[in-house]
Amino acid sequence: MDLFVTKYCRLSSKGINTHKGGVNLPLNDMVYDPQALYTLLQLSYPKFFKMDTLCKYGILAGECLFERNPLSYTSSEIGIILSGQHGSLDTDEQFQQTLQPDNFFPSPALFVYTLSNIVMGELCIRYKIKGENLFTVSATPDYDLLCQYTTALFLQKRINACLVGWIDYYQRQPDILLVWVETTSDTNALPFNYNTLTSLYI
Amino acid sequence: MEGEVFVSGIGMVSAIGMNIPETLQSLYQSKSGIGAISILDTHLADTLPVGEIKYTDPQLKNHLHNASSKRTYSRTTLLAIQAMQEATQMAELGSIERSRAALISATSIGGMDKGEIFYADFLKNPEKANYRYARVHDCGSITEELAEQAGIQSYIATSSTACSSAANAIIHAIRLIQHGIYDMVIAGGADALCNFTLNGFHSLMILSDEPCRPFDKNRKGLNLGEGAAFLVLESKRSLTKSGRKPLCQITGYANTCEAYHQTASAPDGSGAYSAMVQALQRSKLTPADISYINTHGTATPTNDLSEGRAIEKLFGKNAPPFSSTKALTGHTLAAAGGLEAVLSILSINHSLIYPNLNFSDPMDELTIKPEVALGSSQTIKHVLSNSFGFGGNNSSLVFSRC
Amino acid sequence: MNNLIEELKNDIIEQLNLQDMTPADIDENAPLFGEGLGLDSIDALELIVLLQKKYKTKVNNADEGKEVFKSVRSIAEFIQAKQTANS
Repeated sequence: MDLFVTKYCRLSSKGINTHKGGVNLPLNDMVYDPQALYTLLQLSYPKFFKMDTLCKYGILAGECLFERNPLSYTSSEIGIILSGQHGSLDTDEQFQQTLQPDNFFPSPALFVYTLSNIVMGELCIRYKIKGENLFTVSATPDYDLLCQYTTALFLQKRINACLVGWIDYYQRQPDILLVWVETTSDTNALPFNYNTLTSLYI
Repeated sequence: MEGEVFVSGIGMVSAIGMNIPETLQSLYQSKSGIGAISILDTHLADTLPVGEIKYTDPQLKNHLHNASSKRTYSRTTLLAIQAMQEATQMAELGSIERSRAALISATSIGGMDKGEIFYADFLKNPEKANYRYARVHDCGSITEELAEQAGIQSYIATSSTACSSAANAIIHAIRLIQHGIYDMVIAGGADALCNFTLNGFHSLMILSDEPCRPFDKNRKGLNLGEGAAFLVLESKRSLTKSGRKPLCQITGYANTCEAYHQTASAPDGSGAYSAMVQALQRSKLTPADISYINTHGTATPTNDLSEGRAIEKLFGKNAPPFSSTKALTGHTLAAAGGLEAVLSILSINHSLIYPNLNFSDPMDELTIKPEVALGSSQTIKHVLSNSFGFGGNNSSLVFSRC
Repeated sequence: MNNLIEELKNDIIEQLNLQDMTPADIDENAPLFGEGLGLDSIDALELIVLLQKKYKTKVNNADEGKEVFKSVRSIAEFIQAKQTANS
């Protein structure tokens, strides 16, 4: 079965690149300020501001990828297969800070983001994804696993499209690669395989 | 390709017993494990009842065979080893069999019970903190410790999807067997009580200050609990080879993604409904075949409403007997799906339907009511067990008599 | 009372990350939840933490919260009533 990467977004400390080319950031360190990116990209999703930083970056990358175009699949035929290194560790630490004996005010808004797979949940809510889902935690991206798992889901006809990638954030460093995988190609499509993912991740 | 999956060993530790015989005794007496906190060091000890295991960490360690006295274990790991050893002993697994088995272990807090002690000490004085506590903090450390204990040398994985974690560990195990990748998988989950979760759930105002009342009109929220439960799952081929008699078969499973809200379940119960429907479809059973439903039944206003609506939608007004066992054990988070898998299997093996403790007034929104007394007269053929997690991650399992 | 209302509006904007909103955008008599600012259940819980942290005022449960968080004015009245009772 031939599978293609028809859209992608790479967001890291080096900047933002998509299938349409590089996103021009007026300020060099803007990539460290998700709020500023939201304004720059002219997004309109108020729930964004309630999220922890990992989820904010997940949504930003998703918006760069889909550009507000509705997904042309039904919810149950879209899969989401993601991976990351730190899970929710950054927010786990922030929540732990609200449990200090001398300043003890546990924050509910932080606690609900102390789940390693929560960024996948927010992406599912934003893009109405209800198909097969998996979020794995590993020290470095295992693109072999992501490709094989995703391909198996297509072969079993469980999904017809899939959001695949690496989403990591810890101590101010975003590191994201999201790709949109479909069975049909357009002229700019890339083959969905280990080599494509590793070359896009650089 | 999709072969049958059987359970040949079970182990469980919770506030209602350190092992299966103690658990059964509590079940026969409908004895709840919910009470005041006396082991965990917390300022909430007098405020919130929980399902706590009344042994300190050193006592738990003494309970175990071959636990190293010099080694630092998280409380979660101690509970996990206890339950896993019981399951592998019941199945009488030899060391060669264990070495060839896979292991899937679920947790949400990992070794946080030790991690949070380390962190507090570290902030005061980095030189005085116990770094061995930090070493056991991460979720994977439990699985690795279990693998070492059991002598598992092949495939291990850790599952963490909030309150559906252990159910998903079991689903992962089923798939490994059905696809012929492994003939035997040990799967389950563990979570200990700790301040991170206790304060977190308290900040969400979903903890009840009295023993929880699942499906009751006046339910005030959940009681947290702690525990561990593990299952030994085997293929038909493995059973034939060993001549072991299975405790039950797992005939159906499903995991669905609800995409509704970070924590709340969809009020119409659509997520819970689709998980139950798909699990039944996979088992090739109809709703009428189900003898008992062990619900997720956390006793929060939102869960019980959406789960109750989903049960009514799927089963109609004549739903089979159902109850929540969380008023017995407390909500053990990532371990809950494992505990309730074991309780479902005991239900089949001992013809038991568990009482939904503390229920008195039906909810206005529902016509169905949970079982309030222990049932022990009817044959239990198929049990449906639900586990729903934050993030809209819903899982259902079907256990069948064989 | 009016000072307290202004202060609360600023607090709410900050605590709940209400981007692009100024105190002038919040009508102190309008409902905070549902139609109003579109706040959800987690926001209500954060407001409870805010009242406890800054105003040393305790909301005991979700039901009491529903009454207190009807509007910015009702929050101000609640704080004042509690402070008067404690002084």
